[in-house]
Amino acid sequence: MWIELIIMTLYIVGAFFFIAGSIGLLRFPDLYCRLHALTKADNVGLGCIAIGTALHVGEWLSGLKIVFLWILMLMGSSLLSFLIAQRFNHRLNPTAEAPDQ
Amino acid sequence: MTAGILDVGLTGIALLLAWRTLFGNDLFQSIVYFVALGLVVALAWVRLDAPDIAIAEAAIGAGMTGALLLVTWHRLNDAGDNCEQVANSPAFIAIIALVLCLGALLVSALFTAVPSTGLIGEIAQELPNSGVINPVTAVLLNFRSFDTLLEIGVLFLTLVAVRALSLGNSEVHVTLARSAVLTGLLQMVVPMSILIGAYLLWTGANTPGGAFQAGAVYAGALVLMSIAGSDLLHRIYREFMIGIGLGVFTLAAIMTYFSSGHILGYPAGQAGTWILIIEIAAAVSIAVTLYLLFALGCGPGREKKTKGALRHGH
Repeated sequence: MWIELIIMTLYIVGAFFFIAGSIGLLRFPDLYCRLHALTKADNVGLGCIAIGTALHVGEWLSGLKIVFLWILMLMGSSLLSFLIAQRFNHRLNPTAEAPDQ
Repeated sequence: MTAGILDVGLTGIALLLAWRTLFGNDLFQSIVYFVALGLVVALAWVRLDAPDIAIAEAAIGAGMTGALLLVTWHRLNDAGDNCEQVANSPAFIAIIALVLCLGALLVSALFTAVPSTGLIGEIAQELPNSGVINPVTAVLLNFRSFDTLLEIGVLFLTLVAVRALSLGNSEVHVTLARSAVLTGLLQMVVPMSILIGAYLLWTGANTPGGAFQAGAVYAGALVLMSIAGSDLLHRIYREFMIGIGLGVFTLAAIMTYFSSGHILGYPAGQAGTWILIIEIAAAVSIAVTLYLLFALGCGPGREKKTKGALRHGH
């Protein structure tokens, strides 16, 4: 009973962050703000849903796998947003050299 | 009920994305929509209980094809080609008419076709002799292994053609400005990709997975590595790796023909071993081929425009 309540709360919080992130992606003025909205909301939103699903599955090994998936997504999305921001930065200042070469 | 809503929603989103892909004004947007479409279609395959195809669709359909399309988009931009608007041209109307006819045929087939369970019974019956437990792998590498041999051949020929067209550019690699973040993250992501690929390859015998899925994951890792500026593949090994899939598969076909009289008719009791060897070789070739298709696409034409961020390694 209690665990279901926790799962539902996590799902709703996760969905809220996804929606907030999507609105941010659509409404924010420039690329950096949009990336901020996307990654923060995506990570927290997915994290809540992943933890909720892990609890829902009940079996600890499967739950652990789902949490690992979330960590993998965290790494992937941070790498991706870094690359996008770096590329955008270079386009703005084409003469600037990369920080360490 | 909930599942029904989910399915209708997925179908709707897939149709919407397909429409946006085809009729967008901006090529770049179309590519982004295409990748999103690939992921939605992968989810649809999951809903159809076909996780093998779902993995392949996500990795090859959305991932690798998306990367290839983006490379092409860059090339088009640099060449200054303007994409002609095809809407309302006679060819376009003819295509629409053909698609509508095909759609009508498919819908009528839904109502007139004799209900059939396909070959599920026969496959289940023969599965114990196939050497593997996963029915998809059994079909791909045992019952219909000749088809798969030809597929590997097609992939090989594609790479030969692309290489012939980009002769002289084969050494060009596009590299992002090196940075500690990229290198550090790749040090974590690439070993994990290697592990995931090996798992997919090994588990193909029992559960969804196999050579194509593993090869696609490896190709993704190679693309990431090349973007980060390190070329893992030594040239000689590379040539070897391109051919090994088709080579081993063909050799297996010849050997089984002489031993059992049937092409790819594995000796009784040894099917599992044969399949595993062929799959390992095929995964290597698929990975290197998909990666090279991407790397060759990044050939000349980029240096003029994007000097700041991109530089040519090698």
